[in-house]
Amino acid sequence: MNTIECSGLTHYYGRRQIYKDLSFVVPEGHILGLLGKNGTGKTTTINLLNGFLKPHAGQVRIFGEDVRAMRNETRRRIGLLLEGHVQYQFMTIEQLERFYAPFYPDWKREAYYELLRKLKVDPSQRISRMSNGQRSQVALGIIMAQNPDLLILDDFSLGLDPGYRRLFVDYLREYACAEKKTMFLTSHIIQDMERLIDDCIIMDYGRILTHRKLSELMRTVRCCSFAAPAGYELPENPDFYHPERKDNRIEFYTFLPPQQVQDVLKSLGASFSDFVAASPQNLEDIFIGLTGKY
Amino acid sequence: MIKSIFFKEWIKTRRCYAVVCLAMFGFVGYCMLNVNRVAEIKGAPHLWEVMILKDAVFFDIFKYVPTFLGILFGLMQFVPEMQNRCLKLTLHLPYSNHRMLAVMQLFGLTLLAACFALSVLMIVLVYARIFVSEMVAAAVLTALPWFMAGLEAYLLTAFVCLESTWRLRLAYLAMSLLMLRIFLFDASAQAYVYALPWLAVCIAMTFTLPYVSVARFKDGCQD
Repeated sequence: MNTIECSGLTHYYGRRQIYKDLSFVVPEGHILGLLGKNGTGKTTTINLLNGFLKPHAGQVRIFGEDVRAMRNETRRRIGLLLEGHVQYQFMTIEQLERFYAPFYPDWKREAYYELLRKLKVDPSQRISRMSNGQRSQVALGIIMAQNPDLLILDDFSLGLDPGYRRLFVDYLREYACAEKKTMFLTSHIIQDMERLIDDCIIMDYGRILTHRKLSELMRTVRCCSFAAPAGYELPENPDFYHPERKDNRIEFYTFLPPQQVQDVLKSLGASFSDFVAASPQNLEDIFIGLTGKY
Repeated sequence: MIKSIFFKEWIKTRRCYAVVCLAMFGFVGYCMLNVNRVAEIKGAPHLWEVMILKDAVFFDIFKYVPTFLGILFGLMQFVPEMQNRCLKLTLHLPYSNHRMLAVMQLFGLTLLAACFALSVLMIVLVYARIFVSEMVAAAVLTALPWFMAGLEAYLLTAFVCLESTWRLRLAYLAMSLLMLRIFLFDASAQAYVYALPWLAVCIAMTFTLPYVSVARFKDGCQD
């Protein structure tokens, strides 16, 4: 069963098209990471999922319900982490817990305080006087206490130091695995995503570049390079992503197997020698290889 | 859940509410002490004469105070909702968005109305010792539109604050100033006696305006 179903999403800001006819699903129990460069529509997608944006066309359904007309019972099953770990700045740790608890019948008070005990901050401390890292733990604690079936996390690494990032990711991973939760998340820190996600969507301007399992992505994508004479430019091909000249070699990323790449190169009449196809080291390499540096 | 929403609103506004009450009671108290002092020095007949012949109510000094306090209270309640788009947290809660906004506004209206009602009570108690009931009623009817302007100002502040684009916020601000002008147009005593029900209707209608701002926020109309 799918927890999130997006179908035919089209959105514009003014005349600028963000994407057209975007469709994807997130099955129950999967952790999906949305990757994309700035301006490719990550925040737009998060806003559409949260119901804080009306698409020009298309529909978002979560737990089978249209997010724009969702019942309170369904909304209760969704935990939301806003970019920057936003919480009510004017409240203290204790007040936040007191405020949220009545909205959630299955509220887990101990989950909230257990996480916050690690912070060694006074429960009467106001959120506005906390560091980014401490605020992230408060926001995470609120979500844990809600015990939602779906977590939507927008840029969860923003402003966190490596320690807090690791703490955040480990907590989420443990929580999601133990309780079979579904997660949809974005982050600019791809190493964090890699530790956390099962599935991955990489967005390019106006479209989904790829949507597949992380393990499959790591297995399939190849960084190919070959020696080429000076001045030679690789003809454009939709299967070769962002060819780049490095000294006397041309490098590009592709989903094709090495033999097929060589066949395509031959069919393009490319003059090449010393062909090498290597598996990228990590998700960040794949992301930059497929979307380009610029 | 209503208790919980009231709790959040109270945390945001409790200090501001203390300031609102102190300022309101301070102004009204000052006016009442002044009236009392003049009554003791020159005698009540002198005050009667001035009030009847010169159409005076002796507390014009606080005509605009409820309006300013309404705006201040509205700012303290609704600006934090728009900081870092906190309103998303509020609207994501498993509670009807319409009811949520209604509870938030009713919270503010109740507190302000309580403060204003106590102020009116202060006027009534002091004036009843000096003037006849018709004159007390005249004084209260003169002050009522000013207090109603305070409630209207509060709702209009919510309307402007919850709007998420500056272009429309400025347009709403201009519209709000014109609407407030209706409440404070004439300073003469009892000028609004027959208009009071219409002012009440105006307040009731203004209660619905912040829904427009929230609907636009949910549609993603943001700067």
